[in-house]
Amino acid sequence: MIIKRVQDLFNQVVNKPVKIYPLVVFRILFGAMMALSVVRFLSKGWVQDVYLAPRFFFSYWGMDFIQPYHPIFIYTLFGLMLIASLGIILGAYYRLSASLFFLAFTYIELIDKSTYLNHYYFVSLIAFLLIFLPAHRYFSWDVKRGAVEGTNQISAWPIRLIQFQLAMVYIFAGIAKLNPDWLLEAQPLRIWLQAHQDMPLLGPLLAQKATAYFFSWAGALYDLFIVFFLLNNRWRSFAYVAVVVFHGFTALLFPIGMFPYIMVLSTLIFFSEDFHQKVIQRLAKLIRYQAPETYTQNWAQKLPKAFILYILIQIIVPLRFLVLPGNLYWNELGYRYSWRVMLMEKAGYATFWITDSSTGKTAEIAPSDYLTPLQVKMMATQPDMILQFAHFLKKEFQAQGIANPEVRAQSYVTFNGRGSRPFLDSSVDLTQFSIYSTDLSWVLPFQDQ
Amino acid sequence: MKKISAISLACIFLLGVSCTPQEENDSNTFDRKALLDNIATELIIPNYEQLASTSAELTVQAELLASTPSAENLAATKQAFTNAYTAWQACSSFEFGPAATAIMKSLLNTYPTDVAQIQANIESGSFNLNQVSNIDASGFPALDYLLYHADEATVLTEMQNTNTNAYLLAICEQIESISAATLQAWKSGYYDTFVNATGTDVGSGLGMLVNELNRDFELIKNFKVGVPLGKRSLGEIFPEKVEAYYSKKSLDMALSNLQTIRLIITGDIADGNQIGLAEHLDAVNARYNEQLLSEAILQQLDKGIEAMEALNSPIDEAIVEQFAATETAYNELQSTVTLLKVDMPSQLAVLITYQDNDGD
Repeated sequence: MIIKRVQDLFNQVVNKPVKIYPLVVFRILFGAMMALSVVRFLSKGWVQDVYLAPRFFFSYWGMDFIQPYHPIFIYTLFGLMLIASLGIILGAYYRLSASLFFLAFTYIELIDKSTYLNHYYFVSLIAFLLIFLPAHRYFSWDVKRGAVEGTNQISAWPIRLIQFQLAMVYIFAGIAKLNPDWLLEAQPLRIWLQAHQDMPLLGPLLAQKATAYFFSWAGALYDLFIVFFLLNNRWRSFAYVAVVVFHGFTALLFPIGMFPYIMVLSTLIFFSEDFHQKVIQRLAKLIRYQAPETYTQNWAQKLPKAFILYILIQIIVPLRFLVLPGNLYWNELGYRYSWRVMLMEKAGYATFWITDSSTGKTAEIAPSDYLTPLQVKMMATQPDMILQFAHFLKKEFQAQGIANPEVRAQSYVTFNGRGSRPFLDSSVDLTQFSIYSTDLSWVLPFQDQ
Repeated sequence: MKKISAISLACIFLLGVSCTPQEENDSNTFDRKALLDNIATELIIPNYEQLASTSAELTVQAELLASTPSAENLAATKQAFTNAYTAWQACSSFEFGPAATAIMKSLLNTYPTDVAQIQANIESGSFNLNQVSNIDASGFPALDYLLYHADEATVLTEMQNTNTNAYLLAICEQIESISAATLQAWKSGYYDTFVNATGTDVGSGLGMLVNELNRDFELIKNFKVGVPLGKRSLGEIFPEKVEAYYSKKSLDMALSNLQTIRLIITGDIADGNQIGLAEHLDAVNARYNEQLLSEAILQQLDKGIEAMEALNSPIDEAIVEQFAATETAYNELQSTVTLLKVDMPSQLAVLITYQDNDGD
């Protein structure tokens, strides 16, 4: 009986017929933001800095084959992304466009861990979902040219799925903030906010300790609960004001690129069908293309089982740190792909030593001789990257004729305003540890004081 | 219902605020413009003035030496060289703005100098000092070689060669013109740009100051001490790679360089308002374990300076005669890097990367 009711409720939420408009507007906005992001990335010269300048890349486990290979290849991927995002906006060759965008974007993101950003991960996930969603079934080139049948009505789950993904970002970001540093010390916001004390009007306020506490608590509460307010018809408009204010502040205060804008526009998907229908009508006037008011065909499909698996993975992955050893913030095992956004101020300075085991002689290595400034900075606080670099150095010196180089390292790391302290056991030869191992016994345990 | 939850949230918030220890200020207010102004007015501009005047004097002496290669003129030129090189040590931490545009540090102080390239340039008599290939055949290190590489008589004989003294002069003039141009740029607008960029981001006055201070400090550690000491070469020492090798002034130069960095931190410059990076760190309650971070930095930096002062001069001789002491000095400098490059920027929220990128 109860199971039956849960099933009914689930069907009600997931499979009931709804209007397609929110999904269509989301498609257009997402495509537009991606096009803009690609142009921005290119115009800042980051392709050169991040994908062409480095001679070594911090690959993900088992993905060493994902390399830039050749400048033409990388620029082609960026070109493809631009064309594909236009395809997504227009709903032209939509599935192909969405697939190409997902593949090109994800490939580029997987080249180097040092470029990892939660919002890039978010983009990859959304692009992946869009491949399978019928976002091109209305107000699209594909419908106009007769490649697919148009429809006004779809099952609810494609829209719910995107809402679910946004909910994951917010709620896990909120849960991550429930830690003593964030709530009791207002760190790292105390450090980050005082830096903006020269801002006109707001500046003096940002230097106040109380402001940091307010922002910390308000940020945590916002992240934890905003989705529920956005889902609620009565509270939605207020909630959206909060979305705009919150992300507006983060855009103003932190160097986080497109992320605030992506979130502000993505959360529009919580708005009503009427709202989105009006948006489409406005757009229609603008481009003088009127999609038919009604189609006879409805798109009605049950939520595919595969997406249930997807949902489970999305819930489990951010929680995997629970079964991984060590302090999450110190060792960072299970830190990525978990919506820990702007959560800590961590910086380090790493030095490596290479020892020729046949002579016992040692040379100091400056990582900056081999890595870009961004890579140096990201590596200094992340054990998995330190280990990868140690193995890279081993190969590098073997090529120079040292048969058995041992590699040791030390990094001094500061975390949320605590004085820097040694991060590694510098007596350990790191090449003894596999980069596929979660054994971080060579990382010194985190000590609070 | 809504009201109750709002009140309870407010209570939780107040609870969070009230149970934190109240040992520190409630406000982290600090006038960054005053800091930048002090550093610019009392340190950067006077130091560039000193460099501009000493390098102008160097050109004058070099011209005299070229026209009359006498022992007195050689001695005067050497003195002028030492003065200008020392003045440069007080400028090398400021490689941003006009100095960065002019790639001043590379042009004025790339060492060890390339003797073969210098000789080839002199031989051919035609050279372009602005070419990348001549970066390690120009600047102070090339003068160091030309004036000091052999005994007085030999150098004076060489100076009778018009190609040699033309080369000497060309280098002096290049140093003089870059120094004058940099000073001019600071006086005609860059000062305003610098002190008004009061943020902490890439391109802000503080961001540039902290980043370049760190870059310069690491250059001292790595190239004035580390590389000659064999730190990069599996223990094989290279004493001849020290700065100012031929004039044997390597220790003096390194110490001048370190003293300027110390002044940027303390801000305690004779006529200034005494505001340096230390005051900023104190204003934001930056701590290093049980003490103030500013104190920790100065203590460690002074350990480094003392360890350097304890060495025999020049550094290349210290490496041979006092290897352990030189290594100690190196290690003290290394420990200072951590505080300067990790703790200080982190507490001031200065981005310590020379690469522009997004975070999350």
